[in-house]
Amino acid sequence: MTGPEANVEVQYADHAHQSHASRLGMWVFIGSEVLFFTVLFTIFAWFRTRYTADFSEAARHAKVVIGSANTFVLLTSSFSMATAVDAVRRGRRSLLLVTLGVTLLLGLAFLGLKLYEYSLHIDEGALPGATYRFAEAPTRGGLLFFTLYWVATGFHALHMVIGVGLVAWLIVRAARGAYSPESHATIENVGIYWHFVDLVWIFLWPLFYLAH
Amino acid sequence: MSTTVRGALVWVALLVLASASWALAGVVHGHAALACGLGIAAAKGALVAWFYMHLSEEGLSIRITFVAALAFLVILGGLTLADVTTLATPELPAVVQP
Repeated sequence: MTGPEANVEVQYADHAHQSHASRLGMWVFIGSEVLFFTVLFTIFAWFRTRYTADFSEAARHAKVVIGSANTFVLLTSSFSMATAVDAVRRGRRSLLLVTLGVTLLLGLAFLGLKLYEYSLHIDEGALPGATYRFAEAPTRGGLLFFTLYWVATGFHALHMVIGVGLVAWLIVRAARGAYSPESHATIENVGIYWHFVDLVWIFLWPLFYLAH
Repeated sequence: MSTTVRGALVWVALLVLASASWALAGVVHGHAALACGLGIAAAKGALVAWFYMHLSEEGLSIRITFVAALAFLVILGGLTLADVTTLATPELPAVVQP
């Protein structure tokens, strides 16, 4: 395979050196993302401490089957993404394309389930802020729980949309032969991003769906 | 062990942990439920970061980057919670009109 990534920029000794610098940059970005989500997790912990009973009650009305199904979908997508990285490292282009395709489909499945879940909450009147009309959890804590639910899962879903777009872009480039076992830093970096988005969901799931 | 087989074993472990988390949510409630959920999430997160994100293969510079971000998570979150959970409402003396 040849392509744009076959080039080594002048400041690097070889592909390995260039790839390491690229991954380091990705990890610094991931560090900033950790801080972004830290704010949301901290606000959740704060309000849960203050409105413990309300949060427990509100969490009982989360769509636990859909949220749990999405957990299994995302964990499986991480496995397929990790297999895609293995495939490109070993020069197995067909396996790379198949595993990236599976990752893309699982990402779309996650977003489809999420949209269905959102539609159920909208029907119940559990929209955030002043529009909140959910009769099953008519408390201030209930309002805060669902407001945080929309903000946290909304930002996570936005990250998923970006991830799905990146994987689709990788598929197009991989089909054109842009990656080789020596030169595939972009796939490694998108993989790190994809797993990070999975990592965030791993923590959102118990907070919003299981802890009641 | 090939990396693909290892990846599959990690996937199975993740599914088992997620199932355990879901099952526990039906029998454990309150603060214990939160602790169990987050504890299992931490185990799953460690598996994903170490194997799937390849921290196991990386050198010190990349590992430190991630550990530093997690350290800030603990410091910022911990100090905020330490503040809001220990806020006192002092009883102020009545204002004396001159």
